[in-house]
Amino acid sequence: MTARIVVIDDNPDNLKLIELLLKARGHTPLLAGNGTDGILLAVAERPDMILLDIRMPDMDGYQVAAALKGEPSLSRVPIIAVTASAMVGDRERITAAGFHGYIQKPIDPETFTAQVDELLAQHDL
Amino acid sequence: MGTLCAKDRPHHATGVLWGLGERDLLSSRGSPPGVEVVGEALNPLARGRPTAELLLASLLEQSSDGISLTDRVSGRLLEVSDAFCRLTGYARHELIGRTTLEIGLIEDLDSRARMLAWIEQGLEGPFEIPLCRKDGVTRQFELSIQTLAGGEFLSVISRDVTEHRETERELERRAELLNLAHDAVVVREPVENRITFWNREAEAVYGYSAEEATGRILQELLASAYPDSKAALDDALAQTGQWAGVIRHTRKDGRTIAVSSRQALQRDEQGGAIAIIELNSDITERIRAEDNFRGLLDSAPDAMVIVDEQGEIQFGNAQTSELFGYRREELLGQPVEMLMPVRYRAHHPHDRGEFFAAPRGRAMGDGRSLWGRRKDGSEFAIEISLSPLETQDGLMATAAIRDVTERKLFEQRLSDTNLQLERADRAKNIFFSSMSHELRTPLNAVLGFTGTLLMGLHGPLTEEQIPPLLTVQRTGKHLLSLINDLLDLARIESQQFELHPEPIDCRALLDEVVVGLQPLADTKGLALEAVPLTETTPLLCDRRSLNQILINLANNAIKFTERGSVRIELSQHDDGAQLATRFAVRDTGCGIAVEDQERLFAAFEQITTGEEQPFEGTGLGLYISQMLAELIGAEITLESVAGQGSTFGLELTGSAGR
Repeated sequence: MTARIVVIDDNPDNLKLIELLLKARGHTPLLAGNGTDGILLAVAERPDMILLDIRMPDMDGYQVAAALKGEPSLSRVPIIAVTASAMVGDRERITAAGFHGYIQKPIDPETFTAQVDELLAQHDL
Repeated sequence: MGTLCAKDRPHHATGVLWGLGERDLLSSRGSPPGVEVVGEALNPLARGRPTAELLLASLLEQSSDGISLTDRVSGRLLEVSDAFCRLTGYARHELIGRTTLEIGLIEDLDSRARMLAWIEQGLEGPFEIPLCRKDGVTRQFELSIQTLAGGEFLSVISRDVTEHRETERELERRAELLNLAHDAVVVREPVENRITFWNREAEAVYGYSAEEATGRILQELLASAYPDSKAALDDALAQTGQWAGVIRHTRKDGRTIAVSSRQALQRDEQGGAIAIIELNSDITERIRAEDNFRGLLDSAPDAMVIVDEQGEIQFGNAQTSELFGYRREELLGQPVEMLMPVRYRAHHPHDRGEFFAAPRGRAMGDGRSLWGRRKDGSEFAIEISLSPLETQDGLMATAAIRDVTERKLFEQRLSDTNLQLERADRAKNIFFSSMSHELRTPLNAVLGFTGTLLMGLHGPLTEEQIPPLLTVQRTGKHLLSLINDLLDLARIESQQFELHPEPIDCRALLDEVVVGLQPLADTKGLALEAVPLTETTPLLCDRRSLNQILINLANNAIKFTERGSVRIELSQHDDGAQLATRFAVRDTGCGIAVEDQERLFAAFEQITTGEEQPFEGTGLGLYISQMLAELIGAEITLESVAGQGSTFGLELTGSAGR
């Protein structure tokens, strides 16, 4: 099965890499380069999953997640943090903020889509 | 005091007449009238030398002593002087021709017997005897007896010493009182300073008996050393009539003593100096005790001040002088408020009152901010401890004062430094977090796109393109592990590594480690196995640390072993109170020479065997493992022989996580 996945990341290289990997797997990536665009895109597209970077200028991942959770139409969409923040406590903080999953950067291209598929399966898609 | 009386005892001037002869009354030859007898007795003088007779008559009349002449055989009075009549109260005619017994002068038989005995033995006296005057009053008389004309007549000089004896008795009573005095009482005459009185305490203090001391010159007897000079003392006595001070004397036994002396000059009605009375007390012990006390306080590191209830400084040690800039004598007797800044002085008597009302010790460092004031007016931060001190002179307050200027400065600096450290800590935290993110982000692209290239997502690759891409991938991964290790290390060293102890199933943990490292072991064709116990006791420990140490040790073992196996053994010993757990990672690798084992745990060290390529790795694995082991209270051990493999042990002694 394939899914429509919104990817929000301020780093264009990262966006391109994830787009490449998701497309190669057959998913449909929908890309946004900042939090605001990401929220608008998610609301407009009602995707199956949202992959969200944490450290971003203007709105960070926590703020974006909070906004997305406030949108009733997106209440059933899993939000996955994809982040290079790997310090002690980061994972706990992310879980506490209501994210549905966590993928650490740098991503492993060989296993990345498998991780995404597993998370999609966990969330009934 | 007896000596005093003996000296002042009245003496008889001349021979006298007396009437006696009780024993001879029966053998009396029939006594002629006394006048005639007297006339005969005085005849030789009267006849040949009328002027001498006049002189004698005049003497008889003028003497205040009673004079009488008695016929020894009959005991009848032959002649009496006017003074004798006056002393006895009888008229001349009531006396002449009669015996003292007949007259009733001597009324008690005991006195008469004594007197007869004196006469029999030819003693002259003076004797003391009570006589009964005509008015019936008995008075004490002193008699001197002389035998005249070959024993025919007795001349008796008699003096009423009643008052004198009473005075003497009074003096003796006083002397007795003075003997009871706690002071050593010494009386000396003012010119030569000869000792005239020396009480019992003086005997005790100076070691000389009253007998030894009386009549001696005081300052010679005692080799006295005066505070200024003897002359200064004499001057003070002459001018003010008194003196007080401390004199040093040498006792009879040669010991030197210090005596607190109060002296007063006694004058007669005309103002002439009669005597100097000294009241002395031995304060040698007190001075020694005070010296000891002072020595003790002087050796104290703090300034010590003793203050009485009125706030007067009674004592200040050497440190007080040093700290406040006052000499000791400038402090004594002065109000303690002088040591405080002016703004505190008004309120201090109130505080002092509270202390004396409920005297309780107060230790230093109770948080009060106090200030002292030096003589030059400068102020400095102090701390004070107070304690009550019971003394002979009443309750005092002892204050130990410490200059805390240095410490306050230090504390200020410390607090500044702490603030800076806290700021630096926060900054460091943010820095690590950013570093972690910023270093990983570019690697995401490097490793990501190398991966997609190798996966063929960008089109097919030629045979020649694959090896360099694999090198990029391998070195990229190496860079990532370096970054991870460095960040771990930095966090541990900045003590931002938090431990979260939880019960850990060691067997399960071991399985996880083996599963994680199995692919690496497989690529090298090594057997990797865990040798767990069938039953393990959960261990209370920080999972992340324990896990990372085991991975590091096992990873190293695989890396440094070319053939054979890597085994991880687990053993536990639970004695109920403590759980001893040991993991042993045993390899069949190249081993480590003894001389290399020391530096093995240092950062960035790798042991190479020379010919081979350096092993890939950060060189931080063991160093970090060692630090983590310290954090969780574990120890890493090593047994190895070069070329024969190594065994790294991780030993923990801690609580079981039941």
